[in-house]
Amino acid sequence: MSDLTVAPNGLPIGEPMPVGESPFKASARRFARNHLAVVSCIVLGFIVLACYFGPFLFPFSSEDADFENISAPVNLFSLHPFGTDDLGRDLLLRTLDGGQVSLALGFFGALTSVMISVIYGATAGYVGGWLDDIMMRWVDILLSLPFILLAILIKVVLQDSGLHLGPIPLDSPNISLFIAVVFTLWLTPAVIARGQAVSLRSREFVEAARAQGMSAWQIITQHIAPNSVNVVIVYSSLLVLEAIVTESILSYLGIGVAPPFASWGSLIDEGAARIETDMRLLLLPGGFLAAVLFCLNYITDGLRDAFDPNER
Amino acid sequence: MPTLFVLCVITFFMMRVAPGGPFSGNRRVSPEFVKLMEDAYHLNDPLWQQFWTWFVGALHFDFGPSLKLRDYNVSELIAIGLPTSLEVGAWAMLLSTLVGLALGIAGALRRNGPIDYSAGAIAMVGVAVPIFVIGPLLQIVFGLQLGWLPVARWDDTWQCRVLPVLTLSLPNIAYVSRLMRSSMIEAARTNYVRTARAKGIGERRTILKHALRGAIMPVVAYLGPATAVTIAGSVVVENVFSIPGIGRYFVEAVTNRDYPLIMGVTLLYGTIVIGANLVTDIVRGLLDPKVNYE
Repeated sequence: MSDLTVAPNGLPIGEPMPVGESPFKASARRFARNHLAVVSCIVLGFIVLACYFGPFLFPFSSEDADFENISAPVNLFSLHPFGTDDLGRDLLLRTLDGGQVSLALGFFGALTSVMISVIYGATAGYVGGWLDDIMMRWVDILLSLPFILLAILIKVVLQDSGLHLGPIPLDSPNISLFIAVVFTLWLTPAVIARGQAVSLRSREFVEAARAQGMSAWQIITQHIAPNSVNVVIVYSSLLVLEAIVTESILSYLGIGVAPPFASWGSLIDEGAARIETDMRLLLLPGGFLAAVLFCLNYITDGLRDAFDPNER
Repeated sequence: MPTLFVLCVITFFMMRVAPGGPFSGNRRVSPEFVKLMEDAYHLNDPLWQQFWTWFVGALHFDFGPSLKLRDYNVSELIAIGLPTSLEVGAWAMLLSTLVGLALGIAGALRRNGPIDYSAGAIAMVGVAVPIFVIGPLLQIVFGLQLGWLPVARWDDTWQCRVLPVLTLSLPNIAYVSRLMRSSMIEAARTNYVRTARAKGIGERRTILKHALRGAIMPVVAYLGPATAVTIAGSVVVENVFSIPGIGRYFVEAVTNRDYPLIMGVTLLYGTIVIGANLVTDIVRGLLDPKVNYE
């Protein structure tokens, strides 16, 4: 009270109000200061580009066998930079192709599970009551199980089921794999989204929407869900990571992607069986997978530090 | 208990709703024969009746015969595989808890020292690199290059256990050490630790009796989830190292669609996880005066 040159908002009187920084900008700035996370983004971006555009630089495909160069050694300046396997297929190219499958599955798996979990959590949190109890109880039960058990069960049941959803064959090996991955993934974000929805339920703008006569479903999809996405999106890089890990575990166990396709998991499976003859078969896909997972881990940490209001 | 029942219902009906039975894989078998086989195992009875028969049996620890491995029933198969799986799993849990605690405490006490950094590196590797990459890597280094340990063999020697246990415990070592480090740092800042230090009882007793007691609670709470992580890991590790445990049975049973075996193993895993969570809650209640189950 003694200092009359300071306004109630703590700023000196007479000076213009500084332009505020939006919360997103502030978070982005915090993220940019985290060098480890930024470097991880760059490395990850490079790997993604390499996987999707790298194969165009080669004059042959990953399935082409080069019988002149069977089991070629590592020679970075030759046609086969990391050599070939015992069938003469280029190792680097196969790994990059496998990466396309793994990365796409990770990205779209995470995207789908974010959408499902936000709608599910928003519905449970907004409606509340017995519906909330049943919906979240079900999630709790599934969460208490080892996720790999669920993924294996769903994958195999769907694959043998012969079910079709419109034009989509749910029983094809790769679609059932995708569904199994999503099914193990959406549970945790659903719990987070539900928490956000519960706190939004009693806010004024939701009350206003209700007073205007919007139906519960309209409020959920237009107000609750969009406002719950931001809390889940912080975990999206973690979801990509979990999707990639789940997919590769299933592929490693031999119940993942089907033969015309290969993913890092199935390549590691092939390589692990041949470590005594040629370790590169394991080390190359394993190294790529580990690098991507390292990056995603650091990015997740960075995003959480920068964006999560509870962690600040 | 209700969780366990719901688990039974879900797995049972999920497996049965899907068409395609255990005997339809072989194309050369005539449909009449498949029908006969399915009748023999009561697969054509109404679903609820099958479920009831199975459920009553399960209450007596009788999970029915295995459909693929003839002459064995599920209880026998579990009895054969479980001791092996439990041995590996229990050692992995013990190792991960002890090493994780030690690394976490050491890191928290000497922050930014060499131990802290190496613990951080181990934690990062354990969190980021999946065990089906770590396992074969360890096989290459210790089995093929150095030749100290067998690559994949299972007999009564301790050498066979080293690599599987190490591989299985690494993810939990990583998680426990991170958890312990942060909660120890937090505990060191609390008033009660400062008071203990001010009383002059000595650094050693301050840490062991006061800081540790408060800091260990999050780790104790993690033991339940850690069991689930270990079980999931054991399915993979048993495949990497060719260990004859139930994790291997599970993967084989699923690909063969051996319903009773899948049900039995799922139920067993569910029981272990739920039991571990229960024990965790009880231990927390005993250790933490703030937790009160009324």
